[in-house]
Amino acid sequence: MNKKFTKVQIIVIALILILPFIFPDPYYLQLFSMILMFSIYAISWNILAYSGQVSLGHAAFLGIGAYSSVLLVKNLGLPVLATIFIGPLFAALIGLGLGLLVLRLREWFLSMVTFGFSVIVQAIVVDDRMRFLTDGWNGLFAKPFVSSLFPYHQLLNYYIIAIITIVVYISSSLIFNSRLGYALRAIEENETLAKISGINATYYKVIAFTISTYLAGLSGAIYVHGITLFVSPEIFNIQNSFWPLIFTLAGGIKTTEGPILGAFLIWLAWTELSRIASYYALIGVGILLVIIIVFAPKGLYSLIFKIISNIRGKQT
Amino acid sequence: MRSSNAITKTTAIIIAVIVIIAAIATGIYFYLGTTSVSPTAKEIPTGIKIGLLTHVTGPASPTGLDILRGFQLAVEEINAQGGVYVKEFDKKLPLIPIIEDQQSDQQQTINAASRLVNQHKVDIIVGGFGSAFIYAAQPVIAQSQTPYVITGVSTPRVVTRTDIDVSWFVLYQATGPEHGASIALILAEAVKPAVAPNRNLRVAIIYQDSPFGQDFFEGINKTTNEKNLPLTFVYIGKFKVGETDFRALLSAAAAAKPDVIVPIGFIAETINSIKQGVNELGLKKIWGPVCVCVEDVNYYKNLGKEGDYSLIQTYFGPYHSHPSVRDKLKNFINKFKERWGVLPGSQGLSVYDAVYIAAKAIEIAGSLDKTKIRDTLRSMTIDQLLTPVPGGKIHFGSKGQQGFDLYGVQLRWDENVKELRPKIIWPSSIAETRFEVPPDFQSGE
Amino acid sequence: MEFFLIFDPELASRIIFWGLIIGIIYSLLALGLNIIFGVMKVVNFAHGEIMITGAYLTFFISSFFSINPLFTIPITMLVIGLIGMGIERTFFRPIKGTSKLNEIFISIALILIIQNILAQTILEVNKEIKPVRITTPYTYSFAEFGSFRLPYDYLIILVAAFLFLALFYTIIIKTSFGRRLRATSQNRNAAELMGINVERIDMISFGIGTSLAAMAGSFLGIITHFDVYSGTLPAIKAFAIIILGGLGSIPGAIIGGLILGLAENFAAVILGGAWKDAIAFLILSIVLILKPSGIFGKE
Repeated sequence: MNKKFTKVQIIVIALILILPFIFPDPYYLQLFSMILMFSIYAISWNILAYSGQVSLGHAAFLGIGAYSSVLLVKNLGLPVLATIFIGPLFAALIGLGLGLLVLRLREWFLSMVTFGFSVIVQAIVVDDRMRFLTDGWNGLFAKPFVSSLFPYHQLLNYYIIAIITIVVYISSSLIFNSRLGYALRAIEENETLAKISGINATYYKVIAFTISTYLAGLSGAIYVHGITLFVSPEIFNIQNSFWPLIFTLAGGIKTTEGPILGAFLIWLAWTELSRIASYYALIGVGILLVIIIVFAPKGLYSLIFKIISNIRGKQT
Repeated sequence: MRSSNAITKTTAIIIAVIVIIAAIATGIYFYLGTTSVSPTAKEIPTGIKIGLLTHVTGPASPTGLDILRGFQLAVEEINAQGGVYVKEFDKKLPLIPIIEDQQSDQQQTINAASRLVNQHKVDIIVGGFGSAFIYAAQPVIAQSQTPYVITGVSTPRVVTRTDIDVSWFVLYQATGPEHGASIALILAEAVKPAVAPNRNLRVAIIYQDSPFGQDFFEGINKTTNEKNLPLTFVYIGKFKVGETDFRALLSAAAAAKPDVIVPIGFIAETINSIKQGVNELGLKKIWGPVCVCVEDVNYYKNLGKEGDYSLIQTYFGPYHSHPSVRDKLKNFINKFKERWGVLPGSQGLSVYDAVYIAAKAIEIAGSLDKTKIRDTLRSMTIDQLLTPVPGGKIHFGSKGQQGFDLYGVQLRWDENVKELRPKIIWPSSIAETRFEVPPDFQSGE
Repeated sequence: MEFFLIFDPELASRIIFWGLIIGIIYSLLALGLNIIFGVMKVVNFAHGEIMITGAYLTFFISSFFSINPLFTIPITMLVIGLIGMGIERTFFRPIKGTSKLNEIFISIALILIIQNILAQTILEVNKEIKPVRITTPYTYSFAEFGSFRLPYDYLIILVAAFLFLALFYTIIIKTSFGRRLRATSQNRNAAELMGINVERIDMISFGIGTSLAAMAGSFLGIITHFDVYSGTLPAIKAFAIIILGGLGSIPGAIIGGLILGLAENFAAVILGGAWKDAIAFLILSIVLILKPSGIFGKE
């Protein structure tokens, strides 16, 4: 394993750390906290996609992680900074189970089952028999990371999310360059061939599912404790399942930086365009997405690299 | 590519440390810079910034547009009179409307609220629709210490939650428990004596599986238990938001032999359930009282003859009004129609009132100081505006909520206009007529 | 919730009848998707938005010119079919062959574009975008069998849909165009070698698929209210149907749609409203977990 940081990684980490100072405005602090949460979410989705398994229901794990963390704080009185890591274990456990069940499914059959899973989980959460735990549609209030009585608590909140994001980001690049990553890539390219060359495809695919759902749960926990301070069954909505796909594909699938880049660019563009407050803003976002995928079918990250190497090629 | 990009760990750490130190240094400089620049008290602002949260796009935008129009009408009216007199500056200041789009989305509602308070630095906020959205936006608003008159939420929890400082919020809306209570009372006091004088009234409820539906249903249930009302719930069913096909659910409800079927849902859901029940299933029952959110000229137009004898529990509508606000309301409806080409809905009315409440609070406070505005909002007592309120006086007080005077109407088919028209039947103090039992009514027993 | 109720024969027969009505709409929707998927292997999540566009088109044509909406449906189908061909050319063809995920991505973008163009247009025409319903001359008339009422609209829809499906099936099986379509669907490369212009078949099949969606939408608009946002979930359910019924299988899509209509209505009564959407996916998951290639799929 290569333990050295690359230039790109240092740039990404440095940018994440200095962003609040480039835009010293509580609005952008809030916005960037949200984007970092989305980055973790997109990274989690990307790890699963790396193994050739496309989830269209990641909101299920986002929500399970969020609900578990909030319930642990509420019922056991554990500190928030612990539950955001313990709660997602529950998401990972369910992810492990689902991962085992869907192993044999073909690519987009699996997508449909995962999509359905998020609808089913929502139905369970709002069911009368679960009211004692989830309080149905009322939802649950969540404790913040940092009490609002604390000085600079918004900045602290941002840095807690930022540090977790950096750790997740570095881990994902370690995973991609580890034995696990190579195995996943081999499976994604040709599962039969991978099996012949002695790779235990089942094992690695389930591992990818578990890691991915853990991270999705983690981003859900960060979402409710760091941003909304509230969790309700709306967290399982379709658009929350579509976001990581949009971010990752726009940024660059199967690259470690793609999901983060996508989350930043798409979410910033969307949010800033929505200042117009009209249907035209959303039509604009739709057209922007089409343009991105038509001109950069491998994502913006690879487009940037192409441009950079072109410039370099001209110079030499 | 990896190996060429790789640099040693030590270099990496050194670069990172330098960058971080430089960043934090500039950051602290900026932060100190921005926090120390506060507007000097004597500087006269060009106007009062009033922010609106509403859904201009997305699935909630049909209601969101009503809110937007009510807001703009009120702002235009106040500005036409020169604005709001603020004693601190001894001057009338115009309202500067700032509209942010909730996009029917939780994350974008947070962003919208954050823009209002952190970028536009508005003096006061009104509007907002949907409890799950508003819950998520509240921390940002409380943090910025901006007063907010919430109108589009039917749960009292927005002003009773304890995890944030809720003193910045007041709720100008009848809550779910209040709606539920009056639905139960209409059934017990107006319908029951006429339909089932010697036994409990058999009630079937089908409600929208959402925060709104749950709130209303719990209100009905709670009041019935607390006041020991003579109602028996023979069937309780839920349908999902946006449901269009109620046939199966209604068939099941009918099998439980109710006297009354109460659908609790948005306008299209209510129309569909009554039409399908009466027209397609042939259920000869009493329908309603349904939610005030159906109060829209389209409801009367689209429900058609199937709605004959059905009930609405309400505080405002296009064809009826509480006697205490009748003339003012007529005037408002005409102005709204003239300005926008459509008639106002109940949310548009609430936010219209809320703008006047905000203006009044600023005028009484005599200042744009947010703490003063907040304290005035909570302490002031003013005359009711266009929405009837109990006692005729608006006062938020320590509870932080002002409920409405709810009443019940029964719809009857009017051959002259070929449409349904309402008559107030409850409470008896303002009733125009008595509740009438449909001639083809089939009792639940 | 009220499980014993379904044993009441009258109630059960009603639930079945209403289930069939909504089921036939699912069938049409799934059939359209299946043609597109079968021929082009494209995953188009925006199919529901195209359905709603069709519903609005029928609504506006019939209300502006006061024509019986049942007669405007063919016009709507033609227009939406042409729009569908345009969508195929401008959105799906440029990214063809890049990856399946890019197709999902572009169809999500399409959902945004279509929904908001529709909303903006309706806002400008109607000044508000509240849910609407298509009314026909028979809206208030029905045939009565004892306590059972059958509105004429529904009978017309059932008969029209079944006649249309029979005709459609014959065209696909008997005509030379149908053969070319099936050939492309079964083996694209071989079809190309045989001299079939597969790109043209792609465009036509997209047109057929979308015009079927327009028909489904118009029927939906006659039996219930709809708005700009009512299409997304039915389209995704239609995907579940074509997986269950077999990819590319016409009878599979039709029967699958009808079964889903029934299952949803029973779920709403027995399990509660929230399960009405979930039941389609619950069935799908159970079937696929037991038999990963689908009911009619080959191992």
